[in-house]
Amino acid sequence: MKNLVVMVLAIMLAVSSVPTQALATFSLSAPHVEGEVIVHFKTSSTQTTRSHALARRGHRKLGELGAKHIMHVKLAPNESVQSALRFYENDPGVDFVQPNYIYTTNVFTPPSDPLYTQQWAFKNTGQTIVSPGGPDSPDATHSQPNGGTSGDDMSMEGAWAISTDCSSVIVAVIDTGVNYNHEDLAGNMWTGLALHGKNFVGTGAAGSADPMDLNGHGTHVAGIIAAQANNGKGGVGVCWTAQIMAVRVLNATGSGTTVDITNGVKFAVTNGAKVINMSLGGSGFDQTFSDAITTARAAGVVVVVAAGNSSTDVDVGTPSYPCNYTQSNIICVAALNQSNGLSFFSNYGTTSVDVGAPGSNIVSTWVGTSTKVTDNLTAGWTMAGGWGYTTANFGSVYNLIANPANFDASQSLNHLFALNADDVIYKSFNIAGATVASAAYYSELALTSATNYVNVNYDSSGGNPFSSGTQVGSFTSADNTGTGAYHQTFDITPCISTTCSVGFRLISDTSTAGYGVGILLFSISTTTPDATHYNVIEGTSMASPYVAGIAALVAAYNPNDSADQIVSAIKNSGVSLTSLYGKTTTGRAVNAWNAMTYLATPTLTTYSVH
Amino acid sequence: MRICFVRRNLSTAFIALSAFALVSCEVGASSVSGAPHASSASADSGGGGAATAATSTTSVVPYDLTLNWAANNESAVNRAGGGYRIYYSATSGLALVSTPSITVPYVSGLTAPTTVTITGLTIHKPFPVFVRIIAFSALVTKAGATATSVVSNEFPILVP
Repeated sequence: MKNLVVMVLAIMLAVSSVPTQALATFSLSAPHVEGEVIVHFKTSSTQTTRSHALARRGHRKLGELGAKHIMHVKLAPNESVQSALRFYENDPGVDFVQPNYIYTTNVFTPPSDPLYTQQWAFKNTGQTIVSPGGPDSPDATHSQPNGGTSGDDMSMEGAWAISTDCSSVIVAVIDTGVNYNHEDLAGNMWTGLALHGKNFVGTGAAGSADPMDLNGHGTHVAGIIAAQANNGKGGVGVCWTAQIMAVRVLNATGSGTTVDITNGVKFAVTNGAKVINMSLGGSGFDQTFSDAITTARAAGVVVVVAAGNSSTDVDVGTPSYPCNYTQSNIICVAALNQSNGLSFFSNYGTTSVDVGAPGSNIVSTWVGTSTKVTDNLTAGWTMAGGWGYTTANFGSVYNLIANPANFDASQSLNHLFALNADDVIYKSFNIAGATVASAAYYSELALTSATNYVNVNYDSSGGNPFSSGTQVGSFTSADNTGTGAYHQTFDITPCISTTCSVGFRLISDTSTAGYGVGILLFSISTTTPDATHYNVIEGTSMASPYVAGIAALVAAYNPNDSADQIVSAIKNSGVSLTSLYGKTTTGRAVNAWNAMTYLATPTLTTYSVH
Repeated sequence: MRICFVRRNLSTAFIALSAFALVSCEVGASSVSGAPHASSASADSGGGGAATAATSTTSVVPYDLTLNWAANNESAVNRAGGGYRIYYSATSGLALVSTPSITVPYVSGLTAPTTVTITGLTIHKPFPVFVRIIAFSALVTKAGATATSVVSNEFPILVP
């Protein structure tokens, strides 16, 4: 019992020993100078009482603020402002005491670039995005109106008020290449190699090493990360001065292989990239690719990747790699629309997808002049055998070139292609003057067996491309593993001429006929790089580089941060959104200002009593 | 002198809140040769003296407690206006605003100090000294406040 009384007494003493008096009226949460306060002694105070007050705490006067009784006071070493406020508040000779607050200019001068007002990710005013004329225009469907909610952005101007200097950081854009001659990028291109990076897929525009973008995607990504600011051209990037390393691993049609991508990652790591952006994805686990990211982690490289654009939960549905890889240096990014909602196309997943970032209606640099001609599939095709023009209703009525000519997409009629067929159809297009060209189309397939198939050829000299042309594709029903029409894109750059003929050839066996093949939405896209074009497109491919840019900004500002610390700062400092709750690992949208001011929680290591 | 290491609680991967057994500390051990005692800080008003009021009826000889922590990498911590604040108390879970503290500001050089000595403590067994730490900077956050870290977990140090 006696022990219990001692214990209770001890607890009471311990609790009562903690100061409980009210603290200073003045906020300590506002920025203030540590180690200093401003003391307003009563006007009736004397020099002696004021001096004694300071001396009791080992303080010294730094100066007077217009009167002898208002003192700028230096505190004792290691004494907190909170402690000093408490001390002077209890001095009957003091009227009040306050911190020496820090004031800064509140005016951040936004960049003057002409497209800046369109860059809602940086400053969302609810603006309507105007397409500068590219092939992809703002999407006003899918409950995603063009125009959003003011303030739903990345607080970029607050981050820029802290720093815009990313010049120490190399960001590798592992993509379709970068138009390194673009007026808004040229000044920020990495200069470690003459061509600002390297090509790992096929032959580039100026040889096998040239990472020049022949698609547009990589140039758009690069501009989001590091378009130059205040140069009177285009918009700005997250990092105004980062070094963009162009690593071309996807060809003109946006396709690459394990070998291409892995080589690209290794190149970036070896040549000093601190941040890698990969706005690309595939559905199969790839050990070689994963190992490359592990190597990047060991080198302290942050890897930012896109979640994918299939509106899919990648944790339970079809995965999207590299998003689904688990290395700690990966940040996988979903796309947000202009009102902080999840973009209609964006993948998500509470295990694999980490954060959200703007991905809808994004304006950025573009590779050059892009032209897309969609053939109406009603005239001009030279055909033989069972080919013909027809239509089919897939929700809407589409024109088709088909074999058999009376192709029945519903497969309810007994309209079959011929056995032992070798039927050709082709058409000539004038695509002279372009630098890059690709052909794209959808096909409805019912070819029954692998021995019934369609070849795709082109010939720059015109005429029948199956006589002397080049084969670029071959497909049969089994190649379409999706649920809808089979979409294919082929690079036909060598076909650029006034007489580029493109054709299809149905070859069937002698045993099994089927409902046939219907080709729809056939188009040829051409690109001619220049230095002045911009474009509005959307996708998680656009969300990822915003985060890569923030990673570069944080890395430049905190050069001692590890990759994991940068990742942690970005993930933990985001803004919670209901649209991302249950959709991502953090439930947060990235916020650049928060990431720049994020401080890790310190960890006590040892102590000693003496 | 006693030198102790902070060990992580395996079940939570964070410093234990109250289990003294999770603190590896051997009396008389000198497992850290030349452990830093760099700075000797004065306890804040209401701190060293107030928070270390007698916790038993026996006479206690005041002692000094030296704490060491891992440096933050953020630049803003390691420049003017940055540093650390150590909160210590005989009571667990006190609101920070009511907890005695010592500020360890950046002074000069590459980093802010990562050690401090609290002098004249009298808190002793059966009550631990509960220690918490935050990093701060002069940066202004989006919310308009001075940027600080999340406060660390409470670390109990039991002095016999």
